[in-house]
Amino acid sequence: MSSLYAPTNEDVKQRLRPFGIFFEKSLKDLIKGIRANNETPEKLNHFLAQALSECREEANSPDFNMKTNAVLKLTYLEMYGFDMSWANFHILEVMSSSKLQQKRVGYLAASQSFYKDPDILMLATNLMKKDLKYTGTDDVVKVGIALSGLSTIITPSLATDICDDLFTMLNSSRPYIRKKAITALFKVFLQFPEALRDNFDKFAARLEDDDTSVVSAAVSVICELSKKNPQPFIQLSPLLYEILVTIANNWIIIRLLKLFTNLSKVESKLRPRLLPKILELMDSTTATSVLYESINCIVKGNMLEEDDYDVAMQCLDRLNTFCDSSDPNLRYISCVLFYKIGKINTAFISQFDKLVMRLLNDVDVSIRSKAIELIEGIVDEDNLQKIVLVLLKQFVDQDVVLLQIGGFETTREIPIFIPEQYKIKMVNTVIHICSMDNFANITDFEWYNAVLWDLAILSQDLSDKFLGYRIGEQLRNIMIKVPSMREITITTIIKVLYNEDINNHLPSILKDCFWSLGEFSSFIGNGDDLINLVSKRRKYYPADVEVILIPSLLKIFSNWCNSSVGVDAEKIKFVLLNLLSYLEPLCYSKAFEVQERAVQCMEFLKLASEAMEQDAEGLPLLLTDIMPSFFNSYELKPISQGTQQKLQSCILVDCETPFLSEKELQAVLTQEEHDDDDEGLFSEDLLLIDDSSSTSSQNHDVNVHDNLKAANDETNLLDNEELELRKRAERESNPFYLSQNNDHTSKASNQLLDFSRKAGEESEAHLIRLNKSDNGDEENTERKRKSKKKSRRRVHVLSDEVVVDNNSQSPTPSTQSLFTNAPSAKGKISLKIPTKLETFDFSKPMSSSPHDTGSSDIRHQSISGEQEELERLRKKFEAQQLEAHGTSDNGENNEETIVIKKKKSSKRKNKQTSGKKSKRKDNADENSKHLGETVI
Amino acid sequence: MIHAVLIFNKKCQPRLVKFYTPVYLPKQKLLLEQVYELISQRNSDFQSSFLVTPPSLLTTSSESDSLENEDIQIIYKNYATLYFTFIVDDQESELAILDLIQTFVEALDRCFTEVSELDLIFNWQTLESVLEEIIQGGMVIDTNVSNIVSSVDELNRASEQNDGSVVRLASSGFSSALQAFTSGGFAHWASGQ
Repeated sequence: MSSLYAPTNEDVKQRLRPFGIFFEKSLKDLIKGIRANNETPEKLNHFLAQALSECREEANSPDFNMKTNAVLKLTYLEMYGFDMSWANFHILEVMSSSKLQQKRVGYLAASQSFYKDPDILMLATNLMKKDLKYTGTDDVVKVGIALSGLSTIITPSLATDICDDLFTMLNSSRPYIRKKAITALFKVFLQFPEALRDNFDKFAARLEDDDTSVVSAAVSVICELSKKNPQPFIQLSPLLYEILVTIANNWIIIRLLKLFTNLSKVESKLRPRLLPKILELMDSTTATSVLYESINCIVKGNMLEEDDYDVAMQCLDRLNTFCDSSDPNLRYISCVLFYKIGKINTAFISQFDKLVMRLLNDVDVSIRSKAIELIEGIVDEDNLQKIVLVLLKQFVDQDVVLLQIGGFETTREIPIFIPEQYKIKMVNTVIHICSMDNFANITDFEWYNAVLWDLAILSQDLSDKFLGYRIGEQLRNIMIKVPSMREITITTIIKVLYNEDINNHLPSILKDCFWSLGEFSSFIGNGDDLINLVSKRRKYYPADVEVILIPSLLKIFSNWCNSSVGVDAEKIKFVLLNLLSYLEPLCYSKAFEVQERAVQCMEFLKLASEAMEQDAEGLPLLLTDIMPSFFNSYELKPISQGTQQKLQSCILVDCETPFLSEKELQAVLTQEEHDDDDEGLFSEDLLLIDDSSSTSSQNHDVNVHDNLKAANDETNLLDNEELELRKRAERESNPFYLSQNNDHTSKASNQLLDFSRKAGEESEAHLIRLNKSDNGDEENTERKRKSKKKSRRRVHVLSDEVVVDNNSQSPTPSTQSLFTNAPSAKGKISLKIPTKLETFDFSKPMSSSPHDTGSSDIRHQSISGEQEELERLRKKFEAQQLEAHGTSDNGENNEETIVIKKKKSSKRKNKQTSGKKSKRKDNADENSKHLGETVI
Repeated sequence: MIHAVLIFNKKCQPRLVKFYTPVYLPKQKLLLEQVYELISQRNSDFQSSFLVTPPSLLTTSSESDSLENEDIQIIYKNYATLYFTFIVDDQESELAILDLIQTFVEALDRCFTEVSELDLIFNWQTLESVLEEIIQGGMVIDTNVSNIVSSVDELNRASEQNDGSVVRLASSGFSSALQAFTSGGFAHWASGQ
């Protein structure tokens, strides 16, 4: 061993040629060649192609050394993306070489290439079984090579074939072999769980092996297996616990902690025994990694209960110190664990706000990115503005962090590149923490308006266009949910609309902006200017924005020409023409929805404009009555996301029971006689709503405007009443109106819809005037009632209307999935190993016969299964043939059946001759025949 | 378990690509490029050794079963011009893997005495051998530098003995026809170098 520390030249030289004395020279040539031709990709590709064709020649050489050399080079070239599965047969030949170094090359190549081709594995099975036998002096090495090689390529059939050999090796006198055999068994168990069931004790006995490396391997294998199926290993817990208590090897302790994490997830009884031990371990260990894994085990193994503040604090305190470490790795993983603890109970981490703020300014952006996820846990009313400020400050391309290096005096400025991904995450986080729990953390909506404006400006340059929708959505939400802030919010929206850059770079934000403008166009004094602005711009937005824009324009127009300040008819004509010319090209839009809406709108406006020509006096009825009736029927209330979809499945159309019983009909008819209005055609809602929900909706149906600069306007009341009646009629005739008790809504809706049409103070927001909103009398009485309930919050936020029971935890269809351009699963790498272990039932009674026959039974089964499969295929092809004869007598079909018969050999032929002349075909085929005899 | 070990330099030239979980070859190459792209943007002096944003090849879309690659971590360490990258799942401890990379490099250092990228370029097979003694089929089998190096030595030495015996047998005329053939071929090939 001492020579290892001071290696002689000879030793070094030896190590450098592991696969034989001369082999490396030729591989070296290849490597040198690659280096020499590295200037341009074209040149390199040319060289590699040349090298590859040389390898093809060499692999076909009868000379084993040349063949080995070629295989070695091909193995190397796989690194550059050149597939070598065509050479699988040559690899098999090299594997079967009697020379250990050649065998080594063979197994190395096989481990890299054989998984692609189950056929070659069938041929290789016997060879591997032979190599696993222990016969002579150098066999330790030989067996070792075989074990290393086959560990990566085990298939179900190979697993059944070699598992007995591997179990025999568990009793080898050499720890090296035991260790490798037990590791190789892992993949065997994945493919062939029966082996584990039938030899469980034999396998578990290795946990008590004298050699630590074998114990380590056994623990590792059990750990990996328990991830897939923890049940069978729970019985080992006492033994594993013993090892955990006694062993000093940190590597094994970490593995055991991982293992116990897996077991504890399914067996809660482990917790009382394990937890004290792990806490003890945390106190005694000096190794950071063990300490970290202990906490990890507690958290991930479900050992931390929601109300266990004691343990949580023990863990968090440690993590807190880790987060102050100078090692970014430690800071990062601690941050991740922090998040996981916070997920168990947010209250655990709420006191660590200072730490989170510090991590938000970490020198490592990936740590900041994790810390961002923690914000949700620590945010509250008081620190929200501070946190958002910290985040907004980071919207620069290069941040500079002062880092202390070495002593306390020397600090260095380190420029940090802020990646776009992180910026996107910041925008989303800001929106999330502000809007969470129905804007619970926001005390100042003016501030939030400003934040949203900032976000809109900042998001322009980011590639995630979904951000536009999110910001727009926020503007729309506060527009709807915070009635007292509507004027301010609409000012922000108009600001957004006027900003050319946002229009160009972030058009997705406009969708909800336009909607809000349309819906609340009563706030806008000079709708004509707004319409002219949009139509003058002649800019065509994305289809989904235009879909919203068209009705919004109509709404604005409607509200403008009916506003109480008399509007000049000429002006209206002008705007009408403008609108028409704007809509005209949209009638030919490629987007169906846009086209349809444009045409509808256009036709109506054409009628209106004709009516105006005829009517010299005043406005035509079309504009004064019909148009507003399109939109002003009822007021919209916020409902939670996905409610509409849920409702659709709740609608029960009952075609059997009459709407009204005879009695009710009479009652209605008599009532109708009293009513002068032509309302009341439908007195029952077609929409069936849960009783519980309609009652609870009443509770929500309270709107308060604490902050409104109330100015009572008596004159409005009359108008209000008239409007109210009309609205009620419409409401009742609309089956999709989310109905509440009538008398109740009449009160509630008043407050929201009946803003005065009077142009009050004109707040000059980019030329668009806002109407001053007024409140009716009811408002004040209502407010009195509400003021008791009112907490310190200044602004009332409407909560979502409850329409359907939310108890059913049906997944709310998230808009997220609509907008994130989720790349399809196709073309992804899946690192999941297909295994039968997860579903394997270990409780099955062991087969009465000894295990070896047991597994051979299964082998027989699989063979008979194969035959069945073959039979089935044959039948299928026969049927196909018949069909082919029936439809056409194409010669190709006949040929196909022939090919199937010789499927295997022809397939191999194809592989070997791909890109080769047919001359070589015979050669290769001969080769394979020859080897097929020797190997099998 | 460990799914893959990738070693590449700062120009994205591969030095070792080892997958313990089958991955389609062109994807391997693509993954290497994506991992390189992500790692090369990072500052190894101040940033952690974990790739936080996974390469797009490993991210799962929201539509498919999203838990598939959720626990995959990419852990890397930078030594001079080389990046040693391990793709592992959640059964591996992050800190332990960092230690393992250190062990790997120490073992290489002992094999080459003062290892450099050039050593590894021209001795790819040694790199493979050392890794083979540390990881077998995605499982760590040894973490002791001395054990690892002596195992590699033993493998190399064994071959020498074996070769020697073949030559000796051949020279004394006891070899089988096959052995004579192979060693004859060997000599022929060697002289061609």
